[in-house]
Amino acid sequence: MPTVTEAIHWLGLDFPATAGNRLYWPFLVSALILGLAYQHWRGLPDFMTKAIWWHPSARQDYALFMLLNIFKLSVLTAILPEIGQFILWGLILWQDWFGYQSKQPASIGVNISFTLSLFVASDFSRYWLHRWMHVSRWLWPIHRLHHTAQALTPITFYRIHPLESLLFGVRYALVTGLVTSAYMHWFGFGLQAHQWLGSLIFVGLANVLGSNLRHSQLPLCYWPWLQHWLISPAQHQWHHTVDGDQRNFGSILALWDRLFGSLHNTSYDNHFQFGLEPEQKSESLLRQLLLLEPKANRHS
Amino acid sequence: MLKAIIHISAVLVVCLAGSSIAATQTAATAEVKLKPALLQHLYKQVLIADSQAAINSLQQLQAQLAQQQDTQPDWPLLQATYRDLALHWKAVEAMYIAGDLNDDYLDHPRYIDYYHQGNESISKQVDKALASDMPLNKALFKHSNKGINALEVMLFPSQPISADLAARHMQGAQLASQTIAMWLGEIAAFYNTDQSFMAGGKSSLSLLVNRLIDSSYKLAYWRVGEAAGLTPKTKGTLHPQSLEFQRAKLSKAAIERILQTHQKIIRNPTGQDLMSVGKAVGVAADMAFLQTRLDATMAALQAVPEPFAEQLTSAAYKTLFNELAMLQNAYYFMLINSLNLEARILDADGD
Repeated sequence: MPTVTEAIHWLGLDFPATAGNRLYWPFLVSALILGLAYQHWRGLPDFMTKAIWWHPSARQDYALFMLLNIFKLSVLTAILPEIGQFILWGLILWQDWFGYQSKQPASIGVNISFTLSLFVASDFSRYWLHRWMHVSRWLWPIHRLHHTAQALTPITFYRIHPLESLLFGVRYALVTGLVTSAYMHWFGFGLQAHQWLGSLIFVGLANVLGSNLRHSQLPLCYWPWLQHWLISPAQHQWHHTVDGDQRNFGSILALWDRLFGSLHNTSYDNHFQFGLEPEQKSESLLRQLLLLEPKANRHS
Repeated sequence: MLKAIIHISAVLVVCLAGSSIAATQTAATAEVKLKPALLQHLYKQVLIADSQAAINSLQQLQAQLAQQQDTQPDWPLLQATYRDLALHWKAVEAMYIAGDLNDDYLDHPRYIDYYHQGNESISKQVDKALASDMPLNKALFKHSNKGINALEVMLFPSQPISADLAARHMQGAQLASQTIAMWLGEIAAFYNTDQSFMAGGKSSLSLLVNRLIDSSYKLAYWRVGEAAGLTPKTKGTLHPQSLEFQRAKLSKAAIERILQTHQKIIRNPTGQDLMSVGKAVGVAADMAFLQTRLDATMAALQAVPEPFAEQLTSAAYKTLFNELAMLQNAYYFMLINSLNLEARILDADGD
């Protein structure tokens, strides 16, 4: 019989208190403050209403969040090697390819470059995996679940199929393993990634600046020029609309969408209709988890 | 507005309540705070002590060479002193950080020891120079002909030699020992006067760890693997000339001395070692694993009988190579776990 603490942990209810994830409390609070200020400034409808937060789709999100956390802690932990193993494989790979390199002390500049490389490589790989999940006939059924959300809340970030979680976990491990081992190949002990609030500094910064509003009903837009560089919450919300799911695949940087022709600039007064169909009905969660063919699959 | 404040308060209460729960689960990422005594100990008892021991052996050898310039050389005596010198030098070389602390000292080891540098055969060159009629300062004009490897050739003739040739060997050895004394003296003087290591804190520690990793690689691949054709470079082909100190038959002893130097850094009886740092920063398990690997490597080395050069195809020799490769991986694991990257595979979801 699990203790209360264990149950809280297994259901992910300790996320707000755990640094390094998007629901860490400073990120939630900053998003709330930022959101309320923006809502007031633009005269937008309230985004903290019961209609949104207790929408059937949002309730599905909460259930999925807990289910996903149990899956991660049980199955993913058992099948995925630790990140250290990926880095070791990377080190062996670099050594085989380029020969051994005598390790030099890592300067501040090297550590900044390492941090930046981790961030850029991670954001780039997120973009492509996300895009791939939309265009691949095999991956779309997995990612589809995320797009059946009709009401967006920060928990929608975790409205994903366990297989998607596995794919993103492998992506993270491969990218982190390759980048970290490449730096470790030349710079041994003393290499450090700069972090803030438990996340890579650039990710932490993005989180404080409202990453949790990406999955919300508050269309916070950046200036048009900035939306060419950074994905605003409204741009990601556009991606969740009936018309926008082939646009704005980026996570933090808009650069990739711009480079690969999928960027869509967004305004706060656009019409955002979330979900897959204009008249979408709620689908059974079990059916979606079992990847059963939807009644009308627009990607088939 | 009141509604908003209620929302914010509710979120804060939930979060702060959660904080107290998570606090028990989240390992604190402690900063490496080194005690000055630890760096001081490692510096004095390892770096300074080893370089001084090498100087002492060299001076003893120089005194013996000076005494024996006009007499028939006492080969066993000279060879025993050379062994001391060579092994002390291996300890200095394994943890050589003077070049990291000051660029002027970057190449000193390369001027003393030419093992695994270039493709030239120092033994052939030195034997040829000694057998020639040219004055030795001209015959041994190359730096590599006056290093510790050349000295080995001079003090360990491959076959019985005449008195005249023995005299040439003695003169050559004196020349080489002077060259080595110059570079080694500068290293020892630097360690004795420079204080930057002890003031360097974590960066000083990183120098030591990086040297341990370098050294473990060279042990596995240069000093053991290559000779037996176990590395990508010599795959499947025996290459006994890759062994270090082959003439002096010190290949195994050199490996042992380097491993002993690792041991002094990792765990020593005073407790001023990396093990204590590892415990302080929460990577005690990695350090314990490392110690296990070090013990296993030492045991594997002891299991390889002498003469070392005749064991290249034996199972024990291959086991030693595998153990050394695993030792390098153990160092890598320590390195990886010292990174502040969290194992966030579980929270790497997309958008």
